[in-house]
Amino acid sequence: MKRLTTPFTIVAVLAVWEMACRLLAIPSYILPPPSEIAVAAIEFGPHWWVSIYETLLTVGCGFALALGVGFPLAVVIARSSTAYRAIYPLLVIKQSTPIVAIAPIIIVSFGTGLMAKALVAATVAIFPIVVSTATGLIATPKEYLELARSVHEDPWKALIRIRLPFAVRHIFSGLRVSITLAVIGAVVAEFVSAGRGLGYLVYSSTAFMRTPLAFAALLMLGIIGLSLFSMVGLIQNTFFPWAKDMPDEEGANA
Amino acid sequence: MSIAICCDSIGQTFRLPDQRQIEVLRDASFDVKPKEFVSILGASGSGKSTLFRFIAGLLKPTAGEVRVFGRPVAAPREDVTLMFQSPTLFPWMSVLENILFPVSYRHGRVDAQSENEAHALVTAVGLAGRERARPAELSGGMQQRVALARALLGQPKIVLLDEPFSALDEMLRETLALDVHRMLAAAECTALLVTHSIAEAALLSDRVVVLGGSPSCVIDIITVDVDRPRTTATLDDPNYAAACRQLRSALRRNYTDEKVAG
Repeated sequence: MKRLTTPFTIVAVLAVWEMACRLLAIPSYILPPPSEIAVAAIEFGPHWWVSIYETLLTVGCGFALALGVGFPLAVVIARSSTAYRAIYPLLVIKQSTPIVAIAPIIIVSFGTGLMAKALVAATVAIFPIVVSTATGLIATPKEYLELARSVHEDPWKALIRIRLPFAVRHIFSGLRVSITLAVIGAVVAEFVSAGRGLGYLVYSSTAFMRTPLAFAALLMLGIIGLSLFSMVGLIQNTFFPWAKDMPDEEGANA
Repeated sequence: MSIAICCDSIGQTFRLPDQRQIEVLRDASFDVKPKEFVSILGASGSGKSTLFRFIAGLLKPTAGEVRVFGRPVAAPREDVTLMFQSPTLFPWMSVLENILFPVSYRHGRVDAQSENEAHALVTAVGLAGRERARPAELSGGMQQRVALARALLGQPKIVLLDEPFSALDEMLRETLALDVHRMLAAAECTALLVTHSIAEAALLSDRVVVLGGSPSCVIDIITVDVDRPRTTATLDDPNYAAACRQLRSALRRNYTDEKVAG
């Protein structure tokens, strides 16, 4: 019965939505009923693949860029308190500036191609990667490190063999948040500059009052975000199944 | 070579972030002979674990010198192994990989001899058949047995134990403590146990170094005149009871002194 709760809730919400639109005669350019959204989605047909591919490409490149820059940055921050004091405030300032304000500047500086869009996605996706990875690396229990030191003094070996495996749980928490933020970043970039992609589809559909299609694109973005989020979790559970049994930071296996 | 560990006038002063200095240890001196089991007994904050880290080569004292087999300790030594309060097992490694960690970490690979020794140690600590298990699949006592096997890998000359039984329940603590004692004796290791438990110190040790005062210093060194091997029967030995009384008296005397001074 518990497993049916979520599907039942979704069906109930759709039913109430459909009935409300019909009974209250809400114009479909303001709030289309689910049935019209479904029709618009089906009619859009193979064009979906172009939009989905375009957005996924931006998300993938942005996420890879965020990972490629964020991960080494987190290692540097975790290894040096000077780097922590120098870099961390800049990251916080960047993160508290809305991406919709940053995106046009990036587009002006880097053009309207994939690189600029990926940069927008990476700008918003990098923060959780840096913070979670650095937190995991710093939180490695002292006894793990002392045990390693008692065997062989080598900070880099300790980083690879002790700190990184310990940080896996933190790293994946960051990656899960980061991948969904990369989707947001990609949509913002497509709003600002693109001629293709799901973000552009939402933007252009609403401009031409094709609200059902805009809703369908929104739904597609939600599905993509959820799928990517689940995929990161699946990767963690497949390749690092022990991560869910990690000890608390306070004590190793205590 | 008649002294395994020599702590010579050890002192430690920590500098706080506000530049104030706090002296935690002063002029602590004692020796441990080869194959001897010695405990450092003291209240929380008496500097026991700090001393443990000096001997392990993880910290350097601000005063005095620690020598192991006559040589000043400048860094961790290959023939000195550690057991901590928590098992400190790596969750991403199996039981066997955890036991072999010192070898794989030091040399980057595991030789056949070490692997055979690790298998023998798994059996010796009573975990045969659990070689592939992850730490999360084991109980607290089993995890400490794995930590013991890891500490014994490579036939160390000295094993340092930092309250390794304190997280266990009373019965398990007693059983595991006696097993550790038996295995260390069989391996002819010198053992140094840091503990705040009078009963544990008296049950396992040949001698007990009692720390107390503020800053902490060695207030007494008490010999436990009980024959080896130590077993549960040791608990009924009058000399064991006498050692417990002596240790309690030394700690209480110091505790009273501190209260009066405070």
